[in-house]
Amino acid sequence: MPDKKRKREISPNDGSDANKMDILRRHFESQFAPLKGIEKKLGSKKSKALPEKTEEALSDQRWQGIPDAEDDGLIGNVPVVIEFDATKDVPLSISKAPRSVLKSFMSSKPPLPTTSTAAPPTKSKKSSNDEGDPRSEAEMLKNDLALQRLLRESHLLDSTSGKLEATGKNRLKALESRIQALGGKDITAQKNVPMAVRKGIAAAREERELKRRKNAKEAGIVLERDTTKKISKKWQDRGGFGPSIGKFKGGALMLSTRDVMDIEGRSGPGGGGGGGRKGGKKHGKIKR
Amino acid sequence: MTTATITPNTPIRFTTHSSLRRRLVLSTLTGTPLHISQIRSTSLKPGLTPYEFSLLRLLDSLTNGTFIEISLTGTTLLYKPGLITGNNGRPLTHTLPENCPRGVTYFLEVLALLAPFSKSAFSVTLNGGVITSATAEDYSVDTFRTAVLPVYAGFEITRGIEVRTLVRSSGPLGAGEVHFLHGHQVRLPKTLHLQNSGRVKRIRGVSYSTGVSAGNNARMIETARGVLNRFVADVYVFSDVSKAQVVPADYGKEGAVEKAAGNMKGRAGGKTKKTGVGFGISLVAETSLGTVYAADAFAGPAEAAEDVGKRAAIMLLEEIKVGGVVGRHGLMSVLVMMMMGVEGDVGRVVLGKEAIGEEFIAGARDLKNFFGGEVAVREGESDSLVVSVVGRGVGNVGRKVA
Repeated sequence: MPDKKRKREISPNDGSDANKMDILRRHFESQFAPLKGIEKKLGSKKSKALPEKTEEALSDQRWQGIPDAEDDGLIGNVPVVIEFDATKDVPLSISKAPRSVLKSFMSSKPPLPTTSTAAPPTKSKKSSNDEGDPRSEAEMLKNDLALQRLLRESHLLDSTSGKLEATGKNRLKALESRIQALGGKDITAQKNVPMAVRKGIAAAREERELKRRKNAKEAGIVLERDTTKKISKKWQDRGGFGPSIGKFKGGALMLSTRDVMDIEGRSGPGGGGGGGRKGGKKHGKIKR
Repeated sequence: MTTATITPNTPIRFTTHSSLRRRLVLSTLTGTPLHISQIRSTSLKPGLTPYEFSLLRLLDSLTNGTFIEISLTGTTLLYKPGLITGNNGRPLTHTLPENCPRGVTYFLEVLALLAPFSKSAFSVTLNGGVITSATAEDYSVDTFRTAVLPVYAGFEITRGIEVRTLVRSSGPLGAGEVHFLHGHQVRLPKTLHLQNSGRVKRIRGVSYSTGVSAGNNARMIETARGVLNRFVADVYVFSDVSKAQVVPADYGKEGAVEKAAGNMKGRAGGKTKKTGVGFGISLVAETSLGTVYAADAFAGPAEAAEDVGKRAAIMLLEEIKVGGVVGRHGLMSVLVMMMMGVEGDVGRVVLGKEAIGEEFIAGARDLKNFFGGEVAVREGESDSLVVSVVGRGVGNVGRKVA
């Protein structure tokens, strides 16, 4: 098929479907036998589109070299290879994606189906929805607090009455526990107790609590959040900054020989098998 | 929680290695023991392959009390699943065999199906022979993140899900690294009702090249956009370029790891080579109602970048033609999740006729074996099929609230 070498483009506005079919048919007929069934059907249209072409002229048509300039205007003369490629239609202006699109799509999270390039309208919609929605943010927060309180005080509730609020003596106990949670003093505690006994009481209380949590976890029961957890003094932020490697001393970062070797990835002079810096460069290296 | 979960201890029996992965997942989700015999019994290399062993090991470390018995030749497997604990919320690192021919999505798909029903959150790092690009059988990690995970949003499983591609690598010998995080554990997935797929409103994609020129990305993107821009104007394909991985010269050879005995640096006499070189493209079409269709193409030997881009674009158009409210890549996950759903609730999805194939029928048969429920298919309007599934209420055994 030497004709294939010629590549022409026809502008999309000059052909209706029938016209395209016509071109295809003629291309087919130029290589094989003339089609009979379709010929009648399309006969009128074909004559309308290209009246000067007859079938005989098309069937014995051969490759005649590169056509002259005067011949150029006629499309039907040679079979035309149309490549469906719209690269030229691509406007150059949108070749670079906006940063928001890049961020939402290329992050490690799966892109949400609701996110759209038109962000502002969805935002306003959401705020208007919030007003009408009975389960708004504030409401949910309130429910959340109520649930936490219920979980915390559930051990005081009476199993016989179906109420979710403690009554009588238990109500006072619940009130007392709330005051303590806010930093108040335990008024039920004895005032004058030897230190050893006091420590014992505290230790026993802690142990009881731990046991309760452990049992609940094993049974898969959801408990209230632990609010009494203390932050150890050692790890509290002391201000300033701590370098991840070396020591900051007298206004200078001091690196030991070991640190230097760590950075360079060499193993120490005596000990073999050091693996360089932990969490170092990921590319080009396999960690095992 | 009544019928399906309390199962007798007699295992369900299967033969051959076909859809082994799906059967293992279904077995783990339902807690039903599984017995598979005649695994590649007539092959020259009989028994389970290294990547199947690796999958079993991964399942073992994510569950508590799993019992696995493999015969001496590896042709018979008895699998009694335990409770899905997700390593009790601790991070887990799993190393794949170096010569693993399957893409990392082979493992990630399993993780994504198990994680919602775990007792605690998943944090799994996969390294070793990880191939993040598309392979002959598996799609790329980008398609997984942008097209498969959004399927789970239909079941309201959305929070804390991340797939971090730390090191990109291509086949046949991969050396990448992927971190999978899943923090949304549910009791029961929501019932799904999807009738309309909507119309495609935008197309996104990622083209990746590892160890080859970034020009390949640009060429793939240009051709893919050339095809797709005629139909949708909103087409963005992002480019991701990364280096090849430097590995020991005997990387991926049989028995090389055993010979090295954990000494990665001194392997092969310190000689190294580059691996994971190649390029490919992942395209995702999103409809106005949130359905996603995806297509993946990876460069074959000496294939031009233009051809790869064009192939991917045409594959995507074919996927869109098949239609349905769920793309074919996420179909099995959706069916499994629907089966896991609230007992007695009927979920419906509308699919294109071409989406129902051999794979679908085999999957539905397996679902019947494990869950005891059937997948009903009937004619819908305008040349589509309505697939309805009755939930079995299996849900998350490890997550009960007292």
